Amino acid sequence: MNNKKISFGFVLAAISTVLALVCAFLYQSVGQQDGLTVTLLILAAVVGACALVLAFVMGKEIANFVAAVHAVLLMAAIGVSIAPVVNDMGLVFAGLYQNDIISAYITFAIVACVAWLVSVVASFVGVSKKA
Amino acid sequence: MKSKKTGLARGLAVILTSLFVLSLFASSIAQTWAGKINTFLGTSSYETVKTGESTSDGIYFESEFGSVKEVIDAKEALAREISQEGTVLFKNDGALPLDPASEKVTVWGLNALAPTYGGLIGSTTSVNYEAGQTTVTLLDALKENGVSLNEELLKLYNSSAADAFRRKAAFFGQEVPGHSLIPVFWPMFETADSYMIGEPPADFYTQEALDAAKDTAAIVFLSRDSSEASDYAVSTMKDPNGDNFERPMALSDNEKAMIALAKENSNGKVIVVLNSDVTMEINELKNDPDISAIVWAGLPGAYGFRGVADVLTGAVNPSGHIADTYAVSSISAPAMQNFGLFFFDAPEGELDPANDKGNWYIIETEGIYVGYKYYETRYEDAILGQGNADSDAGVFASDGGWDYADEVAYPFGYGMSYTSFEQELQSVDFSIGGESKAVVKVTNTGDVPGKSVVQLYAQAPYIQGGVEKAAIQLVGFGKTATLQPGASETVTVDFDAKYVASYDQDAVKADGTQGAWILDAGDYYFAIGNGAHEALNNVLAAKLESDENLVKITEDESINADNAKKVTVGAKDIETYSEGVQNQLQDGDIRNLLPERGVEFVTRSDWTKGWEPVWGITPSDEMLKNLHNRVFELSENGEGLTWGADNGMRLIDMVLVDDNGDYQGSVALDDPLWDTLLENVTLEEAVNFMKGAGGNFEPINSIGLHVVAIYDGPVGFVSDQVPGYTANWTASESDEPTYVGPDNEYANWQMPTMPTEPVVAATFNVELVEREGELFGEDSLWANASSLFGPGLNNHRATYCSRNHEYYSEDSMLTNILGVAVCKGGQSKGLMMEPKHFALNHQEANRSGTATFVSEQAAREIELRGFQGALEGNYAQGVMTAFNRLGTVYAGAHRGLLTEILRNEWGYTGYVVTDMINGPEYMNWRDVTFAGGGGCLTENAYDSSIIGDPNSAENMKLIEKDTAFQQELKQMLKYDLYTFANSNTMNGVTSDTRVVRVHPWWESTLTGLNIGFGVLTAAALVWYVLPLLKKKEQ
Repeated sequence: MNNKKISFGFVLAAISTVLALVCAFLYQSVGQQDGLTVTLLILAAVVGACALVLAFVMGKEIANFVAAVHAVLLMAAIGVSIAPVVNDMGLVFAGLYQNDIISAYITFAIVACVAWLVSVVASFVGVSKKA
Repeated sequence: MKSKKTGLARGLAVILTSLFVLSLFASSIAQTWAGKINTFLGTSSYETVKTGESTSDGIYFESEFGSVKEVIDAKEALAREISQEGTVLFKNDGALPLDPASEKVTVWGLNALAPTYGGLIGSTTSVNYEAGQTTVTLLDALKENGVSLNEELLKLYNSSAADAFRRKAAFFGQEVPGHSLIPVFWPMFETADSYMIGEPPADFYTQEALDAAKDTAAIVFLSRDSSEASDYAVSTMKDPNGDNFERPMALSDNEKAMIALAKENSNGKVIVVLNSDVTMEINELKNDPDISAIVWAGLPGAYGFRGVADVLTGAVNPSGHIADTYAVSSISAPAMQNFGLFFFDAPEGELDPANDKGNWYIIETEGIYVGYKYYETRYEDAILGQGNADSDAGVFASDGGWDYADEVAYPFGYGMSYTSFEQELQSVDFSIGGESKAVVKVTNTGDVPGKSVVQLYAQAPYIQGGVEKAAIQLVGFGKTATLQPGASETVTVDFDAKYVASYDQDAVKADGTQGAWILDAGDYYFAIGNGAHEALNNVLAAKLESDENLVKITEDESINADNAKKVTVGAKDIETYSEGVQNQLQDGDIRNLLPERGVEFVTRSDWTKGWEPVWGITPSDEMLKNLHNRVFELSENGEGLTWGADNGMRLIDMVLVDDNGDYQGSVALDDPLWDTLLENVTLEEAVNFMKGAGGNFEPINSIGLHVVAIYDGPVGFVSDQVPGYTANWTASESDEPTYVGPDNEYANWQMPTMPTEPVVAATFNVELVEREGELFGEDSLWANASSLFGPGLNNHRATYCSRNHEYYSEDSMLTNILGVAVCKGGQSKGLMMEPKHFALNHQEANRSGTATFVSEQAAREIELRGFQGALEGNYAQGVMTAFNRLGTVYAGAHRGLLTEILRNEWGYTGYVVTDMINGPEYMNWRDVTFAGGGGCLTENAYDSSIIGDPNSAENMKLIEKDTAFQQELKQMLKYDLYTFANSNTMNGVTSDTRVVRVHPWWESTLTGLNIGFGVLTAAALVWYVLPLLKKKEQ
């Protein structure tokens, strides 16, 4: 292993990639779903993995760009996931439904937001570091 | 350094691109919810503009008032009048009326300070205190009437010591005084619920307060609240403050203690006022000689306590009659045995409560024996010694066998006066197929002026083991003007023989079809009386030629065989009222669906049957199919219909105006011009209209239809949907005569202030109710809102349904007549009244999806009859379907109900909409449309559902291939547009009116954000990518 190629950004990108997969798993228990969300999350995870591979194997700037795409895909997944739960959220905030109908979504959304924030930081610091 | 700069550019690009993506999604979501956002912000996405080519003022329905203040005053006055005539005097030993000049009064009851005016949701009473609007408590009203109140006890009630006991329902993030029930939209009763009575214990009362109450008359205020989306639970509810009650409808320990204190600390007058639309258990008060009087006030709205105070002080003589039976035990009706939560016994996972709403059911084993039709019919059979009527089955208060006097406290239709009246049934003309009437002479034989209600009842001949028949049923009523002492008035009660007929599902008519309205050969009795029980006693006295053994249970009751007339029908009639009628609801009868289960219904032939709760029904495969919904599927058929033709016709062209410019209604519904008009509508517009009937009907630009406002509810336009008179107006409409601008002093006054329906029903006054409809119509004109989700016309099947406050009565004929009156009044002002919930919405617990099993006879006689008058006469222009199922099919998608009975039998021409989509798979648009339903009330509900948004690309492709579906869409649209053309929604629309799309400020803001983020994202990407590309070139 070439330790010089593993940067702080690389570690963050790896965490974000794993969290994207965790999100895809968590999303399965959300009541009101949009299938595109899972697709985007898996795509984000795949893209994140690609960034890691590129950074680790090739160590090129392209890895940073791919990691940036990973972050945007995460946000897209979050955006797509909101529409189906707006109605439920309104009902909960109005006191008409119990919190548990959106608790799974809230958990998913928190983890997804953390994943996105981590990926943003990774984008700032860069995932690849040339030897 | 260069690397840091690249990292910064990359990071910023990621953040800005992400925000741009998020902004685009936010815009999309906002567009989806545009209707709700517009309502919340008071904005609109559409505007009507005039090109100036028309000379018409476009005012087709005019107000009788010159200002909105006059409307407000008229409503306030009418609310008082309704409560004056809707307040019911149950008991009076002479304590009433009070003399304000000489008597001081102590009002007992913490709940008197925050009474229940209406429902928490559903028929919610609300006013805008900030704008200067007020509600009136009984305390306020008594003071207005010159009554001197004992302030000592009020001080105690107003002190912080009472805070822990005050009723406050937590709702919408607020604590709502006067309520304890908490509406819930998830399955109820799975855990014990709490119910706070709201009265403090005996040790709360200080000696100082008690001493001050001595030598004053006591008014004891007892209250139970009501709400949509909530039911009382019979045995699981507990008071969180430690008060105890056997059942929520029974008096609690704290209430009993308070009454005891009032008796000990008063001048001997103890008057109980009931602030409740659910029937409480008050027999102990009735039989208590220390209780001087009992007055039922119901939930009288914002101003109705003034009417109650008028009765208490004698300013008005009470003339109300109760619209429900007050049973000794609130759970003694057979309907209560199958009320609440019943779960299908199906393999785990087979039924899906979340999406299919398919887990729950109730079986209405009581058949037609609801309310007084049970108690009075069983009473006759007990008197006649037939059908095991005096067995111990169904005994809740009797000692031994069933005894009417032990089971009923106050019968349906009962009410007292401060004077006495003599009513003489002079004649009855009973004409099958013709007009029937009864003539009654009423004389005030007492000392004070007053009004008297004439109630006409019928008894059809019951054949043992034959079609079930109630021993007595209301067929009509009338009310005198105020009669001075000694004065008389002749009241003619018109009635229709078709409402005397019974539905026989086994009858086979001459055309070979099965199911008919029948009038058996035999003796028919028509009788008058102060309530159903007195009328039945008159019938029995005539039949038996003796009043020996007949039971009287109230102090103001007499038996007079002359007040019952016999009419003999020589031959059985099954044809006169059965044209086009045949069985349509057989799939709702559990005995047809699961004959092997052997479910027993209540029957006159043996009163021991039908009392068992029916648990654990195992659905058949056919039932399961329906419980999974998807009754109808889209398919490829036909060659499609013409859409988007652009032939120049617009909706305004269908409005007829005479040479003087006066409005003449619209082109007839069967005129082919409607088809020509409909050809202009695009398929996408039609689909959008169908799915978007929530809050407002969507505009159809191709034919110049603007947004049509449609709001709740039975006591007036609710404030959370129409916050005030000005809310629905735009500046471009300021030239209309009923325009209320934001600067108007009353711009933000709220409208739902009228008494609830049980109070209205107790007036037994058709003129008052029609006037109420007219004033709803005036609100409609001045608030620019054309359709009202009301009246509620469901039947009071069970006492513990906490939505009974939105429905008139346990009697379908009283409901029928009042439904006609209020809709007729609204219609005269161009308001589209929309009765709800069609049909069988008899409980709120798990209302969405509850499979309601009912016999066709009971469905037609007990439930549908309440709706029939308003819909058959087309006095109502809309109807809202119910949340529940009829049998296993969603009521809003039951073709037998909506197409065969509503359209084909009754000839209804108005529109149909669903209730709020609560489970888009269950209340799905395909089933609704194919079954002859109409608009789906919740916009956007389908977006995330499995069945999907109907105007998604995928579904539109399917719809384009399905001609049958398109035909249903066209038919639905025709009814809608025809109705709109006959309503005040056309006010302000002329031939030069155009509907244009505008962008409210929030939409422009979002667009600005999108553009801003888009530009910044592009800049950041350039900053990030360009150096990389240059670097690569190097």
